[in-house]
Amino acid sequence: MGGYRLKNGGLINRDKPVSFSFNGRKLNGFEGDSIAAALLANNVQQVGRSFKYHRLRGVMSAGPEEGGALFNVNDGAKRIANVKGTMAELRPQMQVYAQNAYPGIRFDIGAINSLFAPFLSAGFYYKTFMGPMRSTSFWMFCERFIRKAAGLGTASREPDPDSYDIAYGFCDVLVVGAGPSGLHAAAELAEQGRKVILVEQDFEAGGSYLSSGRPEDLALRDQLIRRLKTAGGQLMLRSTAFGLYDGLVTGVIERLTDHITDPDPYCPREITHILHPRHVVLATGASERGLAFGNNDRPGVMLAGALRSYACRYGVMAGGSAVLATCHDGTYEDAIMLAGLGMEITLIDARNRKSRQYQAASAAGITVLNGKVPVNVAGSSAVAGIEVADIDEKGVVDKVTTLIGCEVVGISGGYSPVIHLPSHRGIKPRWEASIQAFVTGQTSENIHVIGAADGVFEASACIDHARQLCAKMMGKKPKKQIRRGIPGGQRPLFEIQIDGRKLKSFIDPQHDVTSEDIRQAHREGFVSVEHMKRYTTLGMATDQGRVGNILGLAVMAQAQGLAVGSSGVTTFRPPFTPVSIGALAARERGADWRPVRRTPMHYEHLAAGAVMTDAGAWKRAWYYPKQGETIDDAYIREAATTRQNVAMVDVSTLGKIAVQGPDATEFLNRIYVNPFAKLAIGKARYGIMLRDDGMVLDDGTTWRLAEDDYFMTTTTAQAAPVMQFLEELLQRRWTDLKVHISSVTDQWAGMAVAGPYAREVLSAQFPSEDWSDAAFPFMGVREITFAQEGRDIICRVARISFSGERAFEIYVSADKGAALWSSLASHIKEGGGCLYGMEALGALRIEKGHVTAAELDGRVTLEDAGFGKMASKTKPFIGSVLRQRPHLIFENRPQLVGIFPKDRTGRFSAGAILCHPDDVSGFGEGWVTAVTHSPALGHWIGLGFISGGAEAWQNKTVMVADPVRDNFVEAEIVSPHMFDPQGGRQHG
Amino acid sequence: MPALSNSNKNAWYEAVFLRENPRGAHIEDWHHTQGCRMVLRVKRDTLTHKITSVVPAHPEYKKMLASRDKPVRPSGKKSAGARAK
Repeated sequence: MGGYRLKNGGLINRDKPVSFSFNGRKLNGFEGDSIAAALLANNVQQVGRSFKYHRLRGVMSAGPEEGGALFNVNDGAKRIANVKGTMAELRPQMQVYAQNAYPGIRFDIGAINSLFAPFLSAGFYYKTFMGPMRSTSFWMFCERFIRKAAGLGTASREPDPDSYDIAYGFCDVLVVGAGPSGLHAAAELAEQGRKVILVEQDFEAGGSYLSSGRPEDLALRDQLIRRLKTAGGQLMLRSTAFGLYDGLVTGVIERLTDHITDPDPYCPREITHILHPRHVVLATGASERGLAFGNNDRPGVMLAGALRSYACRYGVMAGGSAVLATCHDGTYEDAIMLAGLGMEITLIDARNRKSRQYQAASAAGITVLNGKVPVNVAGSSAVAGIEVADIDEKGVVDKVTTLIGCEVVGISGGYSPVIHLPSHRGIKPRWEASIQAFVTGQTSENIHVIGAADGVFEASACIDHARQLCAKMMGKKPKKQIRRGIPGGQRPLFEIQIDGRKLKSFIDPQHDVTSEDIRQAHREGFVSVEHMKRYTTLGMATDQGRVGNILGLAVMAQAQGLAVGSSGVTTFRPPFTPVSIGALAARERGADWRPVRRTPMHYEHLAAGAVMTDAGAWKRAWYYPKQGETIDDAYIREAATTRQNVAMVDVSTLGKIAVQGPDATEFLNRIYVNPFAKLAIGKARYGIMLRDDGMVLDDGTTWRLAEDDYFMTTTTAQAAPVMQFLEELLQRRWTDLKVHISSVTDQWAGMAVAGPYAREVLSAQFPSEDWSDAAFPFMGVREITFAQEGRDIICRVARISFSGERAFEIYVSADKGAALWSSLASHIKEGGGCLYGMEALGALRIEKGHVTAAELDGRVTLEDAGFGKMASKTKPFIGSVLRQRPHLIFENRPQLVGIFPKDRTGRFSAGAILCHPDDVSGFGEGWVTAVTHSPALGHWIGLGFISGGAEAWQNKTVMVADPVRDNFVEAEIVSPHMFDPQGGRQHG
Repeated sequence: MPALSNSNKNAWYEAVFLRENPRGAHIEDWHHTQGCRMVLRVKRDTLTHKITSVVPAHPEYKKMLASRDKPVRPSGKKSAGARAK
């Protein structure tokens, strides 16, 4: 007979048929179906292959615990892997594909893996790929084959075309789970004036009401939803609370478009809600768990409750006849409901006494067999029947089995509360013997667990539990004792084994973990459940151990001779169900990954034809190519023009800090290694600051504008860390200093005019100023006021030089930057000068041996960088003590040097290693930090660090080794000041 | 951190490199870099992340905030006296 659709009943919309495809085969379902329900209705029993052994898999459950019906959905860039068919809503034209089966489900090449099963047992990877003879390269060789054979779905390799969002929300009470308990709690709390958000992962609210088969339950559900909404509560469907974090911050993933065929292109596919509730009510229910016995993973073996869910919620019968195997009364209700809908049922109950429901079941035409357990499933690609055997009071299973023919098998080992979210908060679960499962332990946080999630399984008790919580939250004392567990109790039952019969019984069907794997882990000495989990991978698949966890612990406990539950349980960690990476990244991807910083002259650079580059978050002009020029042509021309004529560069990205107050001088004197106490007003000084540990933090110039007013510049890279450090010093350490600091990086546009004719350009721009060396010497600072559009504009100018030429750094209010830049640029152009970008800036500073972040990488001391003589011997400064640590003052430390290729036509790259020519190996003697073609010297040069510095390598040859690019060049080590070492050009 | 004038290497070494990492009550300084830029002294339990007190690290800021939060006294007598100091 197989699976079929009932003539009527269920919550599906029979007026809306939905056509979809499974592995290319056209099938039909109805609106309101899950993928799994529609497949069962079409009698599709085999829906995929398993992870490791490629065994055939069918639908196993009707919820997020599913380990069999995992699919790839959609084609191309929109393909999604590991979609749970039991949760995903069917939509028209949906393309569903089985996973892990090539070329098809029924004939699968990988199924040969099951023949090698003995080699693929627990710890396979550890044993095969770790150890003395088993190198990483051996693993890397094997990995590609293993990856192809194992695993679940395959993700699309194309960029995700969907959009995602992050939303923030606040509420008094967040209720997770819209089953009987959650609905009651949410409705009542909302009516009491609380701001309530109720989240439900399903596309229908109701939880167990949906599959009860009782119309009055649905009416009650509708009434509760109305009450909640009328009272201003919010119900979010298709929304999974995936993580519970510090301060009760809850991550909720809302799926908006996966169930829609043609979604609004502007609607995000998913939204990550970051909710801040005052209280969290967890009404997350319980998962039914299976039993471990032979071939319990065959297509057609399902959870007993799932059979009822498909029948009552979707009007789908998984088969015409079933054997239900249970150990508690809960399954009787399921059986009676299924029998009423026409399923032929044999119910085997592990308990030896008759259930209170025995009469009702018999009256419904069900054959009830007591004291019997399932042993082995007959049939290879589908269920043909089930071997059952007697079990005695002590749990010993008889060797004699009887075969009962059936189409499907429904199993139930009881119900395990869903306790994942409290576990995220570090709340230790507690074993509750009455339900043979873990429940949430004590916590002082505002987390409240109600209903089946707390082991309260009866619907009426769930309502009482919800009401009691509401009363408690309103400050009243609880009145009633809440009854936990399944009425009628249950017999603990986990694994069924017969001596002498070796059968594959699965604990974790999604990861192919068998009970034998767990026993093997025990034999090999794994005691802790956390180790057992990692060794066997039990519970590490996308279902996070919902089905297998308790079973696995029970098998482990039995092997250790301990009571079930005494071993504790592994810690559940977020996310509760898989969350798309895209939903966590939301809009912060590609160019929107972080904000872009543009200098005030950004569009002037673009207009001048600049090629831009990224420097941190900044966009900077890299070079300004003329027609037909390569980058090398352009920067060499720009650098040469700077040396021979005049050129201008945008330096707005430098960090700028206003340091003001009566103690500003003292403050600067403490943070810089060199003296600052006697810097005259109207002068600038180059300074270096260290960290507490004695390493160089940053360098830059600081200008004294007035007695108590300084203008500090930092490097682009260190602007934020320097500001942070200075604030920390003033607020924590030197609270007696009267200094105010303030970042003014964005307030000032900066430009440097450099070259022998820099004065002429500035004279043309500011003709009333005296630009002579006498009036404006090296390191001089001047404020210039000029009128523009009737307003006085202030300009700060200092005669300082990074290029080594006569140069002026000019700062002006950011909004006037573009205008001043354009004006200066036209004066420069008239004199035959040009603009220069980062590449030429680099060339000029390398020639001069001026350091940047490439050299000052946080591992460099003053002496390493050649600044040892700058340090004051008379004053303490930040880092002055720890820079004397023995390891930082030993003589052979790598020091800053210049590097010339021996054959001047040779070239090398930054990142290359400097080696002794006879010993090109290991870490070598040093490294190259920066290279450029030097227009001034006419060949390639580099900066770098080498043990002992230039003096130690005088008249010696080094090998610049670059094995990655296969470039080995002989070089000589020179002073880092490779051009104009006396500084005559900048001093004028 | 030792005073800047302290040239004892060990004192600096211990302050910079040897930090306590206690389990339980802990006093630490947080820098509110994405907001008010204040350095805040936070009492936090490292086990539970429970924060029991937050005050500005700088004593003057602390005083300023404390006086702002104080309820206005109807008599005005005491606050007048405080001003006189």
